[in-house]
Amino acid sequence: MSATPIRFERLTHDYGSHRALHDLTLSVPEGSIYALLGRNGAGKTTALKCLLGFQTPTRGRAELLGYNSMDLPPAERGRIGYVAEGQQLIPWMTVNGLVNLQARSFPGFDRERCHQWLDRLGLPLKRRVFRLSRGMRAQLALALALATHPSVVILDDPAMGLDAVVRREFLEVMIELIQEEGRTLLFTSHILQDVERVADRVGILVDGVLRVDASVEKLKSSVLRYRCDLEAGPAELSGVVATRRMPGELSLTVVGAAAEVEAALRAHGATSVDIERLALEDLFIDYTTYKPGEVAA
Amino acid sequence: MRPVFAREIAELAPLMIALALVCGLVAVESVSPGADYDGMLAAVIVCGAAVGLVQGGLDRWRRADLFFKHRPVGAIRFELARTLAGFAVVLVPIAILLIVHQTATADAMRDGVKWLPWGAVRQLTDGEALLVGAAFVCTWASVRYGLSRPNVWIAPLSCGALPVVCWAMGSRLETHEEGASLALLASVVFLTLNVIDLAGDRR
Repeated sequence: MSATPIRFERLTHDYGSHRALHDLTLSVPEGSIYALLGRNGAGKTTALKCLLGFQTPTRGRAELLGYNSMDLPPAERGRIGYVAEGQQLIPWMTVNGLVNLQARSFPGFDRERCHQWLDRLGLPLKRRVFRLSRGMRAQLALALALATHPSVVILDDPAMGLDAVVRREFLEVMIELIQEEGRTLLFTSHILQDVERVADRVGILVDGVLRVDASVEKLKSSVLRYRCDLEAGPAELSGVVATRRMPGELSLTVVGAAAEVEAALRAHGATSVDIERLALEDLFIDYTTYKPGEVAA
Repeated sequence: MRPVFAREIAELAPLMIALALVCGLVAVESVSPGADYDGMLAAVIVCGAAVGLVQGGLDRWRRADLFFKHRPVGAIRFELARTLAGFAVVLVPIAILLIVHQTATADAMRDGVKWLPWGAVRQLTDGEALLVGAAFVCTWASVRYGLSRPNVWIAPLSCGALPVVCWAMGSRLETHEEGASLALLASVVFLTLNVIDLAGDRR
């Protein structure tokens, strides 16, 4: 298998005059778990559709298992497990019918294993998909995708719409199934706690532009929030992600060495500088909600 | 390819059964005194349009059905399997229609017994039978292609007009075979365009 089974190279996709993705470049190394984050409409699903060859990029290319996504051979497609957004399945089929459909379609499908998972998850084989709860559908979609023994797993917001309890169960199953065989996983999600538990690396898309591509640990250690008693910060400060002004206080989220940023703020007249390490959720909000703005107002 | 074919057949099966029943009734009715062949032709056009509408609707739905689209089958083969399934669904009611019609008429003529209460009065010629089948296939292919297109309202109207034109031309052409050939040629064009279009969309 290619050492980089998933790769985007300057991929741009337009819907008419709307640019959904702009010059997306990222790689997911073999065996890693990559979370692609972004608000609704940020371009996550479009990126995955382009990656799977369901949408033709306007410019650039996506590669899966070393092949251009637009020319993905059928046999290689069989090595990719995919769960579409909203746990899309065929609603009027029974659980068993879907298992049979997958088994006949995918040469590597492990029917016995799939049945074991379904038993464990308590999914009734004779029930029609539209009668399953969201949680059951999510688990079924995951079991069907993973029973094909895929080398690469692509999940588009697999836990969307699940309550906290079901989500936790789902996540545990997901971690277990994925870690078993060291598969490469690319997934999108809105649930940052889940991402923090599972992902090695994260990418944050803002309006179709990839603003972050880093390991979770590195991101959390290099992006810090500084609160200081200034109205405006030093204009030369670089790496500012978000700026918030409150009366008598300036809050800056900055990428960079903490000592240097603190020194720059103090040199600008700050008497107190509080440095705060951010949770992934706070980082995500700062990247996607606030603008870097003019530090020196 | 087989799972895709089987899945499509399963989804169209209720419609196929309903149309087979309708065609059986139409065939029986068409051998009654005073019934004319144009009525049968009109009935198959309506039936063909029904299959086209349902499968065209499925085409549109399938555009977003990424679970089904994500299979280790090439895009052309995937759409070809679906088209063949649609063709099979069209063939069954046509076969029922022609078999019931021919059997009823032949029985009545051979035995001199009117096994249907109202009797059999005429036998469909080979040319007429071919035109009935071709009209069914052409309506299905054209309506499906029209409905698969993004412009949902205009396309089926324009495509659906073609079999009507063929039907009208049928009476002006020298033989029924000529009309049937025209309809079958149009069907092949529509089906080919549809497969290419849908396969391109999947990629």
